[in-house]
Formats: sequence, C-alpha cells, structure tokens
Amino acid sequence: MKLWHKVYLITLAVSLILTNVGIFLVFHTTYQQNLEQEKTRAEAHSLLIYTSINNNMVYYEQRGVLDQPFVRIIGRNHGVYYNNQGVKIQIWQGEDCIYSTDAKIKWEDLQYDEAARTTTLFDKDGEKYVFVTQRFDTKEEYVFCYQQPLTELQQSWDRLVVIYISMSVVISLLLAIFLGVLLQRLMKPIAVLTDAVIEMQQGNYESRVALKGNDDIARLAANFNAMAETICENVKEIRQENEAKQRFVDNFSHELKSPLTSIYGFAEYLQKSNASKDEQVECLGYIMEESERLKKMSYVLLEMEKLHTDGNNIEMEECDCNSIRETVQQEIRMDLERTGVELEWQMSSRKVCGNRMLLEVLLTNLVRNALRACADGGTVRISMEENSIRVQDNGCGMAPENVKRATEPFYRVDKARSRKDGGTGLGLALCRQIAEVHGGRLLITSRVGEGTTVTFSKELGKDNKLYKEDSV
Amino acid sequence: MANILIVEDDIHINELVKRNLMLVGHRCTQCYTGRELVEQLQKEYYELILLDVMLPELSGFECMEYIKNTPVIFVTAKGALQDKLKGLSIGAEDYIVKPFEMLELVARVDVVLRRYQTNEQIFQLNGTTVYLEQRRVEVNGVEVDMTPREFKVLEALIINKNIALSREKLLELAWGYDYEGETKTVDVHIQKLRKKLDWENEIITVKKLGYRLEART
Repeated sequence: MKLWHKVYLITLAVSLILTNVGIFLVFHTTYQQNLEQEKTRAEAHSLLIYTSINNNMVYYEQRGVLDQPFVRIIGRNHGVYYNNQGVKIQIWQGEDCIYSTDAKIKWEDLQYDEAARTTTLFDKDGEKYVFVTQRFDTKEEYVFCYQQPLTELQQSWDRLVVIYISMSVVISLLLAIFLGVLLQRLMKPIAVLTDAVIEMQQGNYESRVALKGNDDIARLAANFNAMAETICENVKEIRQENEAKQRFVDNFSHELKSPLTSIYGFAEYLQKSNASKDEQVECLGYIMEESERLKKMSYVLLEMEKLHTDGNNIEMEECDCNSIRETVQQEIRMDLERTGVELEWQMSSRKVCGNRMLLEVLLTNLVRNALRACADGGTVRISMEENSIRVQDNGCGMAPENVKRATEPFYRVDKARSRKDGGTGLGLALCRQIAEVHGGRLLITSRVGEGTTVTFSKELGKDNKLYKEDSV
Repeated sequence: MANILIVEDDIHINELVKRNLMLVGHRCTQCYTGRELVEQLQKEYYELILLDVMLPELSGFECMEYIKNTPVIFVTAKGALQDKLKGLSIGAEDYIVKPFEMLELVARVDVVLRRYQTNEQIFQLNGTTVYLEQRRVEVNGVEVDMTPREFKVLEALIINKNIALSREKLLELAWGYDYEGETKTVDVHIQKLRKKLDWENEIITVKKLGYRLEART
C-alpha cells in the first residue's frame, strides 16, 4: 500500500473518530443536563400540585370524610386542570389506583419510597416521563404520583439527532475529500521523483527532476539532479574510455596481422616453391624487416605500459640541455643525412627538469616526425626551455582531423609511407605518455602546406585545450 | 593464365601476393592506392582484381564504384562477420582474411576465374597436353586413359603448379575432406601419373614436404 494511502487512512480515521466522538459527547452531556433540568422542574411543579392536594386530603381526613370517591373527586379536580398543561397525576392507595389522568401507568412502573419524595425518569413504549412519587401526609397511606411526559424534549432532541448525523456525514465527507486532495498534492513531488529515478535506473542518464519550492522534497530533488549529473558525466567518461580501449585493441590486432601475414607468407613461399637463390635472399630480407617491425612495436608498447603503471615513480632530475641535444643529434644522424634538412637549435636555458632518458626519447621521436614531414631542404627548429620543449617544421602539415587523432596509438596519416620508413604509428602516443608522466601535456598545431609545431610543456595544465585547429 | 591486378598498400604483402600468383602462372600488376587503381583500370583490362579494404584515402569499398565487369576478391585483415557481409553484398566475388595460406589464395582465385571462364582450359607441358574442361589427356598426340581419381590428382597439381603439395593436402584436394584413408594411395597415384604422362622429371618429390609440379614458363 502506498505511503500516502496509509497516512490518509490513518489521519482520516483518527480525525473522524475524534470529531464524531467529540460531537457525540457534547450532545450526550447536554442531553443529560437537559434531562436533569426537566427532573428538577418537574419536581418543583409536582411539589406545587402535591401541596395543594395534600392540604385538601389532610383536611378532609381530619373531618373523617376522606373515602375513595372523595379522593377521586379531589384528584379529578386537579387532574383535569393540570392535564391542560400536559401533566398527568395519579393517586394511589396501597396498590390500587384511585384516580389517574392516564391509566397507562402501573404500580410496577413507579418507584416509591415511603419516607421521601422520589423523582425518576421512566421510559415506556418509546415515551419518556418524569415521575415524582410522594406519600401524602394523611394517616392512611395515600401516594401521589406526578407524571410529566417529555414529548417536547423528545421531539426536539430527535430533530437534533438527525441534524447531528447529517452534519457528521457531511463533515466526514468533506474531511475525506479535503484530506485526500491535500495528501495527493503533497505526495505528487515524490511520484515525480520516483519516476525520474526509474528512468535513470533503466539507463536514461539524462533524466532530471523539475521541482519548485524550498521544502524537503524540493531539496531532495535538487540533490538528485546533482547526483544524476555526476553519474551522467562518469558514464560518459567510462564509455569514452571503453571506446578508446576498444579502438586500441582493434588497431593493435590489425597492426599485428600485417607483419604476421608477411612473415608467414614468405616463409611458406620459400618452403613450397622452387625459388632461386636471389629470390630466397630477397624474401628472407622481407621476413627480417617485418620481424624488426614487430620487435620495435613490442618494445614501444612495453615502454608505454611501464610508464602507465609506474608513471609516478619516474626519477626526475636537472638534465643538461646540451647533452640531450648531443644524444638526439647522434640518434637521427642517418635520417638527417638522408633528407638534407636543416636543424636549428634554440636553447633558452641550460637545464631542463625531467627524466633524461625519457626526454631524449621524446625529442628523438618528435624530430624524426618533423624530418619525415619535410621534403628535401626544409627546416626544423628545436627550442628547449626550462619547462618546455618545442619542435617546429615547415613540412607538409596535417589536416585538423589528423591533428585530433595524431596521438592515438597506431594512428598514421599516410600508412604506406610510414611503414616504409619503419614507423610503428606509436611515436606520438609514447610522447604523450612521457609528457603526462612529467606532469605536462603535448600541444600540436598544424596547417596543411605550412608545417607542424609540437610543444611539450609542463605549464599546460588540464584546463588547457589540447588540440587547436589553427596554427599558433 | 589470367591478368590480375593487386591493390594493397602494404608493400610486403603486395609482393607476397604477386609472387604467389605468378608462381601458378598468372600475370600480375601491382598498385598501392585507390587512385593508382583507377589509373590502372583506364590503362588495361584485368580479369581479376585483388583488393585490400583498408587503403589510404579511398577505401576498398569505395573503389568498387570504379570497377565494372571485373570480378573482385577482397583481401583484408578485417575479419568480422559484418565486414565479410558488407564486402560480399557490395558485389565482391569472395572475401579472404589475412593472414591466409598460399594454397587458399590460389584456390579462391582459381574458383573465381573458373566461374568467369577465364582460366586456361588447356595445359601443356613437355609434349603432354591436358584438356581440363574435357578431362582428356594427350601425350605426344596420343590420348591416354585416366581414372577419374588420377585426373583429380593431376588437376590439383596443375592448379597449384610450382607449389609443393603435402600428401595430406593432395588427399584433401583429390579425395575430399571426409576421406579417412592412408596417404600411401597418393604416392601410388603420383607414380601412375609420372608413368602415364612421362613426367618423371616434372613431378618432383620434395623431401619432407610432398610433391610439386614444376612448370615454370
């Protein structure tokens, strides 16, 4: 059963009970009071009549003429007179009724005490009476009975009861309706909130609650919205990471298949065909080249994995820029000779802070990329500062879509040429990781036909945009 | 045999495919990009195109729009079911996934060429002529009797000429996948063929590997 049903039923039941019981008690008490008043009034009235008859009875008894017919006469005189006021009297001798305005009342109906006046309420056949019985002061036992029917009181009370009941019904209905509406209004925000939660549980992370007001439920709704926002972002992030991982796995398996196809293919070819010696040498050469490619790829991937897991424990020191420059120059000597490109070094600082080997790898990769981008005779400008390293070339440049994906593992702009150069497609991915390990970022700007600039800087925090569409 | 165009951006794999196909007697032209493909199509007519799906700039699927009236076999590393379905639904004759075996490539090429009837129906070597479609063999002009099984073995050797075939492979090609017999029967049949066709020096035994029909042109 819903919460608000429970609240509703309990509240309704309690208030109805209380109201009705209250009203009932009030009525009842008033009624009793009225009855008491009637009794008192009747008693007073009866005293009046009693005294009158009593005087007569005593007087005539003293004269010795009081006999039943005489009593009857006295009774009748008073009875007829007071009957016009609606009062009935009876005179009893022993258990015989000598006179009675109304014959309905029997001796058993009366309560009689010889010593004192007795006032009682009596109900016969739905008619209520006040009886007052009193012994006359005569020597003989004569009893006076005063009877006041309470018809008027009865009728007015009956009318009141009807009014009471109908009022009670109306009030109960109104209360039920009002309470119902009120509670439903109050509970509606909860229903709205519940719906939003269900939406979210079914996978719609965009569901939000629009609730106005300052009460508890509105606050709950606001907090729910905030929580939903966080969940939404987290889910987005997780999805993106997952997609990136999936892409990596796809690319990686593709990158594996090609060398393996070559290696297996040429080996099978040499085995099954009657190849000439020259052809054998050629094919074996291809096998070795592809194996070399696999070796390089696995090495770089291992390096990247090490950086990924061990990134926080890398040793940093003050590295001498010149010695880094010498190492890099030595590494790329062959590529440099082949392409005839000019290298320009701009050292603004003596020292750079970081891990020496990693910085060398980073710089070597960036310079190699730059050399590859340049046609014969281009220029590559390398600048080293205390917290950043920049490599700028005026080679072929990259389109914006390529810039965005440049640091993705295995991503290449020109696949065929890159493979010919012995590239793995992992260079920039590794550089990015090295940058991150140093607490910095890689920034790539490029224009087709004009050249590319890659900057590694520790000052680029997480708030900076990573890639720009236009060149700097 | 047939004039085949190979479109593959990986240089080594391109070379591999070319050598395999040339071994069994086809003529091959190599290109490395979609653009080169379009150029080649305008220069010459090809009987079969081997096309890599993942090419720079123009993808293999997009290239299909430029190819008319020529059967295409997709050769690619993307082996998921939906890739295969896409390739076949675009109009390719077949879809080979890398890495592949030599014999698989040769067989699939042969099947497609046969479908388009561009494969040589007559094979000649040192005085012996084999009419593949009519299933007849003539040695120096004289017809020679062959059992159906012998012809099947001969056919396998011819289609895969210059490639060493293991006894198991010959069993598979000539007797079928379900055959559970010994490989000895292969040796017996080879002997018979050598005798009947006077090909003692043409069908050579390759140590530890099997048999090879030497038919270099």
